[in-house]
Amino acid sequence: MSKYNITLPVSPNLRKNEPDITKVIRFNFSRRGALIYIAHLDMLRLFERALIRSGLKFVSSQGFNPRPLMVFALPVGIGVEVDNDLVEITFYGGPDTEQAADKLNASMPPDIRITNAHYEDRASGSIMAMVNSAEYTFMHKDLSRSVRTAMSGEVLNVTKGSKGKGGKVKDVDIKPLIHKLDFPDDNTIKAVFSAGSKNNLRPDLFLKALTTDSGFSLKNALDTVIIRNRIFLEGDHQVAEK
Amino acid sequence: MSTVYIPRHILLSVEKPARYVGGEWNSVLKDVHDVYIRTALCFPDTYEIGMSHLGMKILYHMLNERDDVFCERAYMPWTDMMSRMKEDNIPLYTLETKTPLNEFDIVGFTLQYEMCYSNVLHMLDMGGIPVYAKDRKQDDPIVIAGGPCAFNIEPMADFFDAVFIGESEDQLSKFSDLYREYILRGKDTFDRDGFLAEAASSIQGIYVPRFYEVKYNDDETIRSIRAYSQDVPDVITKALIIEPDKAYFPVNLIVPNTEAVHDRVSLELFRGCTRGCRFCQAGFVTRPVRERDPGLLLDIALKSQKATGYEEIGLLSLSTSDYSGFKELASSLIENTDGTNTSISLPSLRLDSFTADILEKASKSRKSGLTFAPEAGTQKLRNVINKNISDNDLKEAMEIAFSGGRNTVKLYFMLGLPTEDDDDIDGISILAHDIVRSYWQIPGETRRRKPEITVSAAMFIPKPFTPFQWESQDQLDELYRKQNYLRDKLKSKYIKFQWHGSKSSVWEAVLARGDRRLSKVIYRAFQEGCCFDAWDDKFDFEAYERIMSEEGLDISFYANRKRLFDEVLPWDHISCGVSKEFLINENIKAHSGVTTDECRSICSGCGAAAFGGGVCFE
Ligand code: SF4
Repeated sequence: MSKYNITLPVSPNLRKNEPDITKVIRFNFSRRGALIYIAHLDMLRLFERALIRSGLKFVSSQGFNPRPLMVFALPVGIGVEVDNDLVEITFYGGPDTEQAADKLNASMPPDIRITNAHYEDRASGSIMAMVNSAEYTFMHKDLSRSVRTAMSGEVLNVTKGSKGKGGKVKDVDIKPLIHKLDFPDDNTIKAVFSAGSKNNLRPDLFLKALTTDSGFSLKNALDTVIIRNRIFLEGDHQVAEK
Repeated sequence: MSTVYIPRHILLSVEKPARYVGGEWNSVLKDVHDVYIRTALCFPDTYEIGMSHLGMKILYHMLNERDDVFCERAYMPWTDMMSRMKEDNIPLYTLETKTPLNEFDIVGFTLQYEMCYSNVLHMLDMGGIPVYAKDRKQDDPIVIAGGPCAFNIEPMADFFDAVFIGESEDQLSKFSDLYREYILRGKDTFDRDGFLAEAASSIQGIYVPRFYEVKYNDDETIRSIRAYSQDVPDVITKALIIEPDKAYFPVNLIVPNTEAVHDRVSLELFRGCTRGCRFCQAGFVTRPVRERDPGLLLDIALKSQKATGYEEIGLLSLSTSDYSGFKELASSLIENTDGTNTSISLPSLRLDSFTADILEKASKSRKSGLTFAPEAGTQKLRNVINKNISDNDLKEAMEIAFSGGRNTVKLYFMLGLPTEDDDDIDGISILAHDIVRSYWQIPGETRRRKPEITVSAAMFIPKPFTPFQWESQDQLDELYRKQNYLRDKLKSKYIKFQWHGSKSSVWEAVLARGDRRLSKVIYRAFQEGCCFDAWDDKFDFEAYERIMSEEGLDISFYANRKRLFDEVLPWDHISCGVSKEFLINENIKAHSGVTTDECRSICSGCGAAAFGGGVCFE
């Protein structure tokens, strides 16, 4: 027999008491500092944990391994700073958007900040499918010259795929995926690339293309600061023209 | 004061850079000008392993609650990062402020397993700290160590200024208090040896290796270990927290930014173990059992879960179901997490119908496999090692598991235990085949899949402070023979056989019972680039073999030699509270196959009652 004879507090069954109404909030967020070095999966985990810490009543998926209903518009790679990315999370009831943002911020490491929140009431469809392009800023002292050289060619090829066992290597022209290039100063370029599930140009791949043709070293490419300024969704604006 | 800058191109060309940048939830930042003492806690293995370790998190948060201390963390960089750092002359730095290790006042290592020793030397060296304690100057950090390996630190004795034996919470607080006193008297006049001597004489369980002289006999065994001065104790007795309910326990635990090996809230139910398995060092050095109140534990668990956002609460102790508040705690944890995604993990369970029910409710996801550790294949050998599990217990547990719809079971065994013969190895195979057979005997509708039985065999490693500390380890070729013998016996296609590196078990055996002469071997191995010895694909046994013979030392002297009871052992000046007489008596009982009852049935007078608390006084 146990030497303990105690009654322990029992919390009400949370799921049973949930109101049925669910609402989606779209959050805008930034990421900087140390956290630019975490991988996408780690970002997912970090947001899930922050959600739990926030005490907000989020909705989870059904099944063996329930996860919060949370969709990022576009995964972000290791090493990329973010000004204004988007994530949609489904909540029970209708928490005040500002309060939800505050609670999430209070539960996040300081390098990630929620900058805006609003209800998203579209009928259906995932935000991922709505992404069509993204704007990036690149900063490195030797960058503009290399980009100008690279863009003067007919095509801008980059080798895709791995050389490992069974891996197929092919050259892909990424020029059609580049929609806009600005050169605000010698060290900076601003660009709009195709993004989303159909056509997607990753910023590191763009830099890699420079290393093959335009004398930009791999070290320079890795040292180049990459900031994703914003993600454009369908209907946000015209980006089709070059 | 300096801050290390790590260029982007380095972070982006190594695996998982998140390990090297800090910025975690609940990590602590302070203004370094506001504190008297800067401490760096180091874990000599990867970030993912180090961030899984509860003990280091406790100390980290405990120290940071003090206004006068700022405690930071460092982990061993993986080999890719290590070579990039060396190429660019980047010193090993802490994750919080990116400060090189040599700028700290106190640098502490937690030593969980012997195979991390070469990493410790790399971390010191990369951190700009002289590797040998004797080479450290006035303004170098005080380098300390704690953890299970502290109980026989002799192979690493030359590298640490002070070693903390036992449970470190109180020791580290008092050590920090004393250090502050000393530096307040003036940093320029700081007297290293004076400070260390006062720490060793006034704080329980603090061992300063260089205050002790070791003399050897002609046959290489030890003649004597004596303190040079009367100010420090002849025998250093471990420190422990006799009332764990009063011990500091953080709820705002640091949460890693990339997945750790154990990524969950760890709940320590009790310290110590009542069982007395004769091969198990942890079971003896942590005596006596001291339990924590289940109400307090529930409170800690729920608060930590809220503060971390973890979705798993793991019960952590040597033999979880021996906890006398187990039913209350487990049931209330389950009730309180019902309706959430949080699951409870329960390791080291003895499976009966109650615990099976608990397991069912505890894991929210797919039915996980079960693990059992019979350790030996026959009752005869289980009596020798005092592993109190019968064939019948196992059979019943399997029936419960299988009829509950499980089909995977993992069984842990040891090969090379004292008195083991081939019949005992046959016993492992018989047991495994019996389990497969019992699976087919449960009703057909319950078994939707095929059984998967894994037999995992580790090599017996004799450890200090156990009744087997005098025993020999099998020679390498005998270990291989036994492995092959067992593999050939396990014929069923439903049985998988796994075994652990035999060579690393030999080296672990050398280090576990080693003496001070091994310091130079570890130093040379470090110089030659040995690191991550705990990783099978990194461990270079041949290098250690060669260095040993070049240094005139013999592996079999340490691993394969049976010691006499009257031999002076390298750790004889350390006490874990369990008397040598008790261990000798246990050894004799082992060889005649006599078991010893666990503490709650009959106290067998091991000596740990001298600490004045815990199970000895229940
Ligand atoms: S003194 Fe007795 S009760 Fe206490 S730990 Fe030793 S054997 Fe167990």
